[in-house]
Amino acid sequence: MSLMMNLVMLGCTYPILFFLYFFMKLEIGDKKKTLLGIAVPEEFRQEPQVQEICRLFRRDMKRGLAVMIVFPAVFFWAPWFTWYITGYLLWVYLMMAVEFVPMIRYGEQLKTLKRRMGWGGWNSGTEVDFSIALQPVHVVKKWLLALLFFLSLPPVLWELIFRKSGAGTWDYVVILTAMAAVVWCFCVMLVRLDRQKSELISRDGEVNLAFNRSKKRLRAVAWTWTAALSVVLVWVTEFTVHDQLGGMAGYLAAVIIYAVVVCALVLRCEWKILGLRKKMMTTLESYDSDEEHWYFGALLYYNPNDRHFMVENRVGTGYTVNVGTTLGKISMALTAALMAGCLIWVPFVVGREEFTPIGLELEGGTLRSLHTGTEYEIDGSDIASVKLLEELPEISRKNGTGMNNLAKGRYRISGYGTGFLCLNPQNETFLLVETDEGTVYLFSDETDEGTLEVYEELLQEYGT
Amino acid sequence: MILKLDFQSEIPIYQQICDQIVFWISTGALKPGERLPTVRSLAEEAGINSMTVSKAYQQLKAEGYLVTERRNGVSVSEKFQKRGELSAEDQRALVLLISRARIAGVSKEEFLALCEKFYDVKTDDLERADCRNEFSNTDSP
Repeated sequence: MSLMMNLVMLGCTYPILFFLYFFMKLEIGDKKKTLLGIAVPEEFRQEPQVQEICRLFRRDMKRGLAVMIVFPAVFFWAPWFTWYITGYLLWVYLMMAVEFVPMIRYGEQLKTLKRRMGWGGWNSGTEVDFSIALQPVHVVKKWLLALLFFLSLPPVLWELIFRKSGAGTWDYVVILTAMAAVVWCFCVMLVRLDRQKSELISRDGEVNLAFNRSKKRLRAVAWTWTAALSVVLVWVTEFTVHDQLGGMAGYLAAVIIYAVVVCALVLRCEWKILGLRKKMMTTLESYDSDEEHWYFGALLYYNPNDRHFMVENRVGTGYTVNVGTTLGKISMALTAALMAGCLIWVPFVVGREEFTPIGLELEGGTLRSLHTGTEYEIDGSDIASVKLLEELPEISRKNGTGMNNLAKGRYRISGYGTGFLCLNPQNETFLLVETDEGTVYLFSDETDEGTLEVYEELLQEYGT
Repeated sequence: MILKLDFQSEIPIYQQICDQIVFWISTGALKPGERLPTVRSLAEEAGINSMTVSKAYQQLKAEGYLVTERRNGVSVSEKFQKRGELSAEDQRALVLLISRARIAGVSKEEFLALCEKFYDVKTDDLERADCRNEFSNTDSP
């Protein structure tokens, strides 16, 4: 993996670190009426014990941020990509931990202090505003979601039905299905959003109604746009894999633009909601009565009596799941499994790619290039020409793997058009094979000697 | 109007809904003919089973507080039966309540003062926290 790619990965991730810090810091600022997600009445916010908890929280957050800023030094200059990716994943997880651990620690301290001092505690239980129940707010346009769903399908169906043969077909199906699944997830999330539990920020039904309507509208617009952009990305991917658009560099640029626009849309929406809540909120009573269901400070919502799957986050912004519901338990377990699985699976797969030697052999009249999960076979009678190159031509990846010691998949080869590669770019000898059909292959063995050996065998056998 | 549901309470949820709706009707917060949320929307908003809400509405309909109209759904009854006296069941509940008050050491004067306070509660008083809490802390009849 090139230095440029490593830099792009870091460049895309650093903003998340600062955004996390920024949003967590809001928890003790004036933008929110709760402190670390705990409903502390306004008159007690300036109490010395509360201020001390806030000071310690701020200190720990800053320390965590400082450590996370320099952490990439551990893996950035690593000689192997496996090391880099493992360090990178650890960095992302630690980034979340250094924000959430102080949140849990000081949130719990604040909760205990609040109980000890008898602050708040107006009531307990679930509150429902009759006005909202009387005029349920449904803002999501289901026909639009259906349209987006159907628009995301053709590339997947195209790959499934019409592309039955050719290298990488199943890769394309998996890639495009995964990308279309993002659109489908957004659609499901938007439908769920419409049934989200309303937030009670006032004793006045009209205020609650106005706030919840605005909040749902803002989120519906932001996420519908996100789903629409994801559909565009599915199509961009489809065109890219079939060489109808720019190569990997162009595609990478498109993905970065997509990520930036989505982040901007979501952040803008959440920022507006924060401002709206701050402006319209007149009571913390509902927050207070609900507090007994929040655990780990105010990070985890567990209320088996509440059938809502998603609830408004107390800390940060957006939604969290109700772990008290079956669906909530499943999604939390899946998230945990996915996170733990990524930390094991990604380094394993990358390591296998990086450290498995490339095999090149001529056996039984068939030229075979082997590497994990990839096998190119060319029948000797199909070979039109074989050349031994002593310098790697300029290559640009269309799709496949690109590491310092491995180039595998479909590449554009300068002077030869698009072809299939399976080689070690650090070698000095490469085998360029062209078939009768005009398909170009560029191979190498793990060593130059091995490549040369196969080349000589080919010459002896076919004299090409 | 904020409906409060306490899942830790021994009072069933449907009964809590009934009690609060009757309280709102008595104070004028819910006026005769006023529409109530549908079973589905109230259940969805509260995050409870729609059968629970349905049961509460059925009970209130049977007691004559609510009516169902084909067009408007569930609404507060326009005409209540003003018998001018408590039903035998309510009287039994009152006797039980007085007995409990007596055992708890609440004097007759204090009890009557409380009765007066709650009897005179109007819509405007509903938003007062003490009034809400005192209502929600009162056991079901």
